Amino acid sequence: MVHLTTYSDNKRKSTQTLLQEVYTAMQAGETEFEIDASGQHNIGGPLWRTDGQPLKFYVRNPGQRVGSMGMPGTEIVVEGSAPADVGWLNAGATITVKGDGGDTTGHCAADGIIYIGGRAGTRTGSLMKHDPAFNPPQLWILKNTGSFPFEFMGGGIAVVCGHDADESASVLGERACVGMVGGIIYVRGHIGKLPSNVKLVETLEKEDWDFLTDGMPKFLRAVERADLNATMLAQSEWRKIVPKSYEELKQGKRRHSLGEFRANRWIQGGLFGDVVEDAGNVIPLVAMGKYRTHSPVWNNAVFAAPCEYACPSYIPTQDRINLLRKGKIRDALDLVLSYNPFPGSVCGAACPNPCMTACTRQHIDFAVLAGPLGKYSMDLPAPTPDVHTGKRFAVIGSGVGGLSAAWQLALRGHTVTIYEKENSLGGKMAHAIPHGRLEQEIVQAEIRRILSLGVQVELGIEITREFFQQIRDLCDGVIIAIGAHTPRKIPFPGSERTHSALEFLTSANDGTPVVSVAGRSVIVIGAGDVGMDACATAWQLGATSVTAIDIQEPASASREREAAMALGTQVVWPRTTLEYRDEEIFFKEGGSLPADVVIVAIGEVPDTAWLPENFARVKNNWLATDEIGRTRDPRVFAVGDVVKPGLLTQAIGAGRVAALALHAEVMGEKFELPRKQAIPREKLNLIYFTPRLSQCPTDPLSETSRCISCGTCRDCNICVAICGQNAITRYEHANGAYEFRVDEEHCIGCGFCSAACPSGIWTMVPNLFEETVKE
Amino acid sequence: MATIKADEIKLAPQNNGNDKVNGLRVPSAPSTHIIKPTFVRDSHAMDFPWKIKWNAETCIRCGSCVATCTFGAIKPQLQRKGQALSTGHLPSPIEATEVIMAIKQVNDPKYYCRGCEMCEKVCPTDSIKPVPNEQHRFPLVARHGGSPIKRGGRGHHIPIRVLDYIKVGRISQMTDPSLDAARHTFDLLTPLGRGLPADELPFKVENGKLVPGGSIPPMRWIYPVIIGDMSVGALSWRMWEALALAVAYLNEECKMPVRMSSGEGGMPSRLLKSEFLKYFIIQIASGHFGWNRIIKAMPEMVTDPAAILIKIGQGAKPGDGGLLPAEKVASHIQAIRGVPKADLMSPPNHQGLYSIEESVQKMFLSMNAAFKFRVPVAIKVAASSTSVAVFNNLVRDPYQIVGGYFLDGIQGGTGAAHEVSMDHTGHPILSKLRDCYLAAVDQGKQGQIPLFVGGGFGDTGDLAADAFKAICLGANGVFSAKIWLQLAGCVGNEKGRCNACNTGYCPVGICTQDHRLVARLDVDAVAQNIVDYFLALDQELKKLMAPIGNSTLPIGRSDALVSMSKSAAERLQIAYAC
Repeated sequence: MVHLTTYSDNKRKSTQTLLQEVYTAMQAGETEFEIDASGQHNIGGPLWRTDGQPLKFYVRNPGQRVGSMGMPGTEIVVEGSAPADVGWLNAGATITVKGDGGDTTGHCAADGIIYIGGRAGTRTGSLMKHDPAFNPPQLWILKNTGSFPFEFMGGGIAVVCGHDADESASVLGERACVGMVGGIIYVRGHIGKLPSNVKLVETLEKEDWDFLTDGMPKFLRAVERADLNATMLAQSEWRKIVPKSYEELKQGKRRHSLGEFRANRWIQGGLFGDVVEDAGNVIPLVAMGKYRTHSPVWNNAVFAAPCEYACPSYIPTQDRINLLRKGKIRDALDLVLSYNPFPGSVCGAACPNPCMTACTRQHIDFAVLAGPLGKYSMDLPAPTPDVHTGKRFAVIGSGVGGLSAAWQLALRGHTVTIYEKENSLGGKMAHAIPHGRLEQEIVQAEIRRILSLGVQVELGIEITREFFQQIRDLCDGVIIAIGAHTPRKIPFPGSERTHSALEFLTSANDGTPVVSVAGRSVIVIGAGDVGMDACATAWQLGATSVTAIDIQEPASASREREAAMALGTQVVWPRTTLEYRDEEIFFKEGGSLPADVVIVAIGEVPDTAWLPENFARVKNNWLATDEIGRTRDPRVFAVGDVVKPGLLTQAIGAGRVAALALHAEVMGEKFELPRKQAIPREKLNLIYFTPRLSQCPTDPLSETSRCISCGTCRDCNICVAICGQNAITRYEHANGAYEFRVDEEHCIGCGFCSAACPSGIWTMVPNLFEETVKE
Repeated sequence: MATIKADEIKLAPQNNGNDKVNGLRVPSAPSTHIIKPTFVRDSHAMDFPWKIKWNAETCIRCGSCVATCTFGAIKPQLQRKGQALSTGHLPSPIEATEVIMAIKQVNDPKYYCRGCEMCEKVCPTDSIKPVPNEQHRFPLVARHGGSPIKRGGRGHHIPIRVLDYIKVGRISQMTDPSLDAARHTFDLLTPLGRGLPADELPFKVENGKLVPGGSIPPMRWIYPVIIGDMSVGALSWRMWEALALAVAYLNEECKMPVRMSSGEGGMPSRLLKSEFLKYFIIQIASGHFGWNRIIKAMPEMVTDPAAILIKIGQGAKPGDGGLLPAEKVASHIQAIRGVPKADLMSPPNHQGLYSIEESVQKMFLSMNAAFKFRVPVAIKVAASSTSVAVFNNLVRDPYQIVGGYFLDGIQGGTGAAHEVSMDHTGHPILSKLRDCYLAAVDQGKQGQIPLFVGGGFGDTGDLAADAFKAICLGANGVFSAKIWLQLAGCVGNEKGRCNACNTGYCPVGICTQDHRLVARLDVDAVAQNIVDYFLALDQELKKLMAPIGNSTLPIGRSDALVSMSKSAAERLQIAYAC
């Protein structure tokens, strides 16, 4: 035993000097040291003898880190207390402090035993570890610790006996065991809140108790408190703190999942369940069925083709072409007859063909030959009505309007009688239009087709007011189609020596012109269609010059004017006639023109004086009707020029509408004017169609390749082909009709079908969500 | 007697016969169905902020992109491909054209591409995507019809984010050792409610013990990151519910007292009557929307709300009232707000308030009284040059009824606003936060009226850092909103992507009331993302508190910050570092 003091000459030895004295003594063979220290650090370690003999240190008043890095075989006994870091990194020494230990006692100890006979400071036992190749470190404390003990403890055994501790305060101070992941703390006495990474075990196992009962007497003997043996070995007062295992920690972290929380704790039915209906399903960005933003609609024939829309007789030429396309030639040719009994004489000859003027195809190359197609229907027999209704109708007047009405009524099985003032049928079509422009054989053949339905005719009948009343009483309905035959006149001086164009044309057609124009100069006042017909007729009858004048830019359609101009007609406007004198005609604008013959072509007015007073009239002459031709008497309709001057096709269309409306009226059916909107051009996809400007069409029956089929499905199946979802299917019904259907549950609403449809059938519409309003 | 001269004779317009082939009229104008005429006046994708790039070679024509685009910005369109060619050794033309389907950008400013990239997201072959068009002329084509540009989202012309120049520069190392963020216990809570100085606390001593001797203003200790006010209506019902669900979960399961402001569109009745109400701050704005249902629900409330927030202004569009476009006023919104389908414009100010003093007396008093003085009442104003004056007035608060001052900066978001307001009005938040805090410090009254700030916090995705810096500058906490939407799938950003919150066509189902779009949003997934973000944010806040050695919120600890911008350092009175 060597005794070392740390003062000499009233001067304190440094730690280094003291420790070097220890090293020197050890080399001299010393194994036991009694050190009277004065705060020197690191007394007791790391020291060892190569022969393995144990080392013993008896220390008073040590500095920090007494016993630090202490080795196995080293025993250190501190009389009284020691400051911080007793046994720091203890690697096997047995260290006894009979008084208190300072802060971080046992800090990072990994082997050996530390006995503290009093209290230990803050952060005691922090980061203790246990290397499985060696013994676990032990840290015994008789009383209590400061705050934050056993932080991040990773192994070893600590025993806090709780002797002489304030009963109300925690024997582990505040915030013990933060971050503790290993080791065991046996504790006796009150403890405060523990963090979630450890658990407090209330009842000790046998091996725990074995450890305590084995170690406790040694500890108490070491710190000279064997008197407490019995007190300390009351098993029920002991508990232990152990860290949760890695698995327990994971388990402990496991909260209820959000789904569980929502299912069990959250407001049932959702926050907004009372005001919004929401099934709660989550859809992908590309959605099908009701969650698509848009859905396609097969709007077949919802819009009118431009030809159909432009035709006053509503003839759906695109339907005729579609039938041709399917090889149903007879059906195609028959179809026109249900709209117009004059396909040969009107469509194919006299009509200016607004259908072709409107045709979409002309914006690519040439209009589809809709007019000439009419000629193919002129020789077809009339359909046979399948019913006879027994209803009687009278048609007054046999122009195209009246004949059209008679045709439609007869086709529906009604009994029709036509009353005609003249001695032949056909009105202006038969009499006023130059025969050179309209072959009378065709007109008469088509009139015979109408009569073949059993339509009766009374010719040479001048209708009086009384006779009209009789007819009205006798029949289920009357259609007035008397036309307009009273020429309008301009009362300029000399006008009594002019001729009306209607007289001139009718008489010329009959071969007995009212005035001879051969070799004479002719002035035609009024440059409309009839005026142009008069001009052309004057040329044909040998006129030397023909000039048409008008007070404004002429409104004549091109066909009549082209014929007249081609013969040399000059058109002059604006010219307002002042006087006709000395075979010269004078104008308000100045100047005059030679005029051997003056023909006035400014229109005709109807003679409706014979009708009862209660029929409303426009400007005292024309009959007032609603848009379907109905007069104030719901069973009396008026069509054609008696209502408003117009084209033949307009009279035909009006006659058909009036007939259908009357039919509905007497049959008790509902009638709606069948008028669709024209399809907007931008809905069509014309890009498929290559212009063929070098191949002018000549064969109406071959127009299937050129007709766009605007607004009506052409059955090309492009939509079926382009749909990436295979969601479009063509369904054919037993009667041959077909439709394209969408499988809504597969359609994503991309709009390819609509973008690809040449005819503008597929239309994308917002896929409106059926929202149920709550409350 | 004059005779007519030849030149006086005018011919009517006519075809002279030369424009006919075989007697048929030829088109009067060249065929336009293949080459569409383009005019200078026509708008074009080149004018728009985003251009669609589409690859015809790789596209499989599945239609997904068009089906997904909610803005109608792309459309399928037939395209003619190829031309007449010659084969062999002589010019011998063959017809080799084909018509194919193409995806085209719609050239109408009404349907301009927002760059939301949903087309790109759904394309199975990566054949389509919007690319930003730096050269666009959109501001010049978007005002057609004399209508100002409106949109949602956030401002695009805010040049810098000062927060990014500020770093946490004072790190405790050898001295006052830093804490272990992972294992130490931190107290992150912040007060919401009127704090009283010790000498004003109504305590008295009875039998040697301190006992309350009067009424104490209510105070809540809450998490310092608040989910900012986004209304029922601005958000889809699913988005709002996901936020509420996340808040409830964070409180109940994670023990994080996160609070959420209702926004100015009222509250769902079911929430008002539930135990979860305590996690929600009910807002009242100038439109007072939804308050009928809130008041009606009072007898059935089982708990008090966390607080009441009086909204005076909003950082994204100060001086403007709330705006909910009619497109979003669906039937349930009509019910909750008590209005028909219409553009819902809140007045720019509360119509009964004419001065700060009056607002304190009237509005604060009313809202305090509404819940019998049990619930803190705070106020939210847009940051402005006048913020300190307003704050000083509130700090005087002789009635002890001002429970918080929420200051909203220019980088905040909005559901709908005029672009000119969003981009050009407003005030950056940090200097006003600092001014207010220091003004309170000067009077020795800091902390008495908690300061919360918002407006761009979390814009880079790092909300913890932004919040921490604001707290060090003197905030008691921050409120943020856009980031939660971004966690839900919002693709909007400060560079002009999407921001179509005002249109009702939100492609991800967040800012729309359209069932077809709302169904795209997964409530559970959104709530989970928000919960996860909060849990991470909590760790990150500690990760910032630990190095500066604070285990409680470092409110006003500006010594922890350094600024890499000298001017910002001077303005904020923090250290400059480079």
